[in-house]
Amino acid sequence: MSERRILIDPVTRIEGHAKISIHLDAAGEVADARFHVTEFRGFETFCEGRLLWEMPALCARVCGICPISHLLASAKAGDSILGVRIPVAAEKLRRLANLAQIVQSHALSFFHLSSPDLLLGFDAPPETRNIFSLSSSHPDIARAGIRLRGFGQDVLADLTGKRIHASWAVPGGVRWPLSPTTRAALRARVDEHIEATQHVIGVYRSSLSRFEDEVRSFGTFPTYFLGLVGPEGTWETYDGVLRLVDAQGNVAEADIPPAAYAEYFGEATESWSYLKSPYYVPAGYPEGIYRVGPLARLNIASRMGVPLADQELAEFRSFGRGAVLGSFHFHYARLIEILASLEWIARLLEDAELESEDCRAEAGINHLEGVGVSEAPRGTLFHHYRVDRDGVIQWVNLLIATGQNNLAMQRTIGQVARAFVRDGAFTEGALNRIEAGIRAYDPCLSCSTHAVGKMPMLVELVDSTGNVVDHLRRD
Amino acid sequence: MRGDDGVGWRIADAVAHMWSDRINVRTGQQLVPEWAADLAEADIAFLVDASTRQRARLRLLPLSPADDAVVLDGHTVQPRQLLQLAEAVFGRRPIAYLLEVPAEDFEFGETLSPVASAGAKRAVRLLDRHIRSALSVADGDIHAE
Repeated sequence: MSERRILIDPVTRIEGHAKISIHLDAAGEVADARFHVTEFRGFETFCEGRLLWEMPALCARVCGICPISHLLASAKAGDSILGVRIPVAAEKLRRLANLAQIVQSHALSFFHLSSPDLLLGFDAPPETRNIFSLSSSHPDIARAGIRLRGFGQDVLADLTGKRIHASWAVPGGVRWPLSPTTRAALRARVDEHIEATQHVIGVYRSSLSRFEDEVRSFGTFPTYFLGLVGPEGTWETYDGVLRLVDAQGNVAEADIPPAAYAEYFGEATESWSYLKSPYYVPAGYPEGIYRVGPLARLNIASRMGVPLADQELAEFRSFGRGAVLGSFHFHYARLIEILASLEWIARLLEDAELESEDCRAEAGINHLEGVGVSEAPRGTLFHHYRVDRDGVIQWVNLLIATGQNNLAMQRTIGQVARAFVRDGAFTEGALNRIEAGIRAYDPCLSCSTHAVGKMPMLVELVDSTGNVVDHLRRD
Repeated sequence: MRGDDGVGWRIADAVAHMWSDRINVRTGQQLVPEWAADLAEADIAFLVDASTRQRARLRLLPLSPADDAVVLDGHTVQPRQLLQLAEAVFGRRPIAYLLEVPAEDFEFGETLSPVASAGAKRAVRLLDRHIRSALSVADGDIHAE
């Protein structure tokens, strides 16, 4: 049998555009598998020349699913350049927005994109793997998912003025607080969603025994894990310090100041994708592979800081020795983070300080460089700017969560392909599992491809028999 | 930001000012799956959007649910899919209409073209009549009970 290539193009039920190519050897076994990101956005380049104060609103438009993440990371980079400590109310309001974003984004990922596989089965007919079928088989879960995302979006709309692409967070703080009536109205809605999320976690956990093969093969390999932690290692989504743990759960790097990220993490490029490959520099490339996002955050945190989620964290830890390594468990981690976010939202909404009009600090340019870091739903997000004395952007680096998972995603699809593609034969269920391996990471590809003009490009023309008949290369 | 693409928003704002205590209004850059929950609680729904057809007229079209299940990715939901989702997940859907408003300019900008502006005024008057009629029926039913 000659070498063959299997193409999955486009990959479905993810945010953005990508393709996967699987290369079979002469014996029909998987030789290589690659995840190609086929879109690029270019924010790092076209933001040069803009004003610092425009950046949060501009960068919110990197993504339509997690705009708040970029809004906050950008505003924090601005805080650093202004040299201000934002008012306490502003920090609490920003935290509330970030937590609501995590709720709505994780709800979209789990209920709309992944739950059809998890609750209906990876081998279910493709036309049935959607939320409509879920509404027949698991109506309570379908309803919970839609309402949960709606709640997260409503918090964001009430807080920031818009569901997506708000310009509410600015360097120095936020533009307005929460009104008393809105605060009370939102608080009254939280408890039903906490209860619904606990129910879904229970259903999900009881279904895990059906997925032993997938748990074993969906990205189960040792890597580092990175994320922010708060005091005493508490689960953190807005501020704190960076912590890196190894596959055994030992702390490899503690208390990294976010502004020093570039000393620890580098970015490599590959010819087959617009997505860069970040790695932990002391371990080298590609050995310095690390993961970010829900799985990483639960691996690095000592505690969630809220009671129900802390109980779930203890249960979650039983799935690993040291760190939980299987990327399949991103789904479980995502559900626990929804629960934790809701508990923290309830706690924040009890605080009348959210109504304080003292929510913005004013200052001019006091530093010519600043870094803002926050935890997006998909992982740690870095915005790094340099400005001139007038606040005109001179240079931008965006280190995106999905990009930091790139090496792990590459390795995952290879592992899944080797487990489910045999003797050159594949089923629709096998291909769905390969896609699902990517989907576990909940990649946001529009966010992650933001550099233009730096990638070598290879374009291959492949005919129906799998032969490459022409190619173009730009180095 | 895209000219006449904002005509639905402006119409919704105008109608919300007129009827704020009797109706619910949702506005957004696109339809989203979570609005299925809102639709399931409504008796009548009007979905308002700019028409991209050339030389379009103001049209009020009855909407029925889609009958084929498609993947919802959270980015785009069509009006009929939203109705289908409301019925499938919540067991209920409203009597629904799509109000297409003539539009011609979708370039970057915050103002409406003369075509869209005229269409918006007629749309607001049309919605006002329909809402008034629907509410008088509802109020009449309540008094009859």
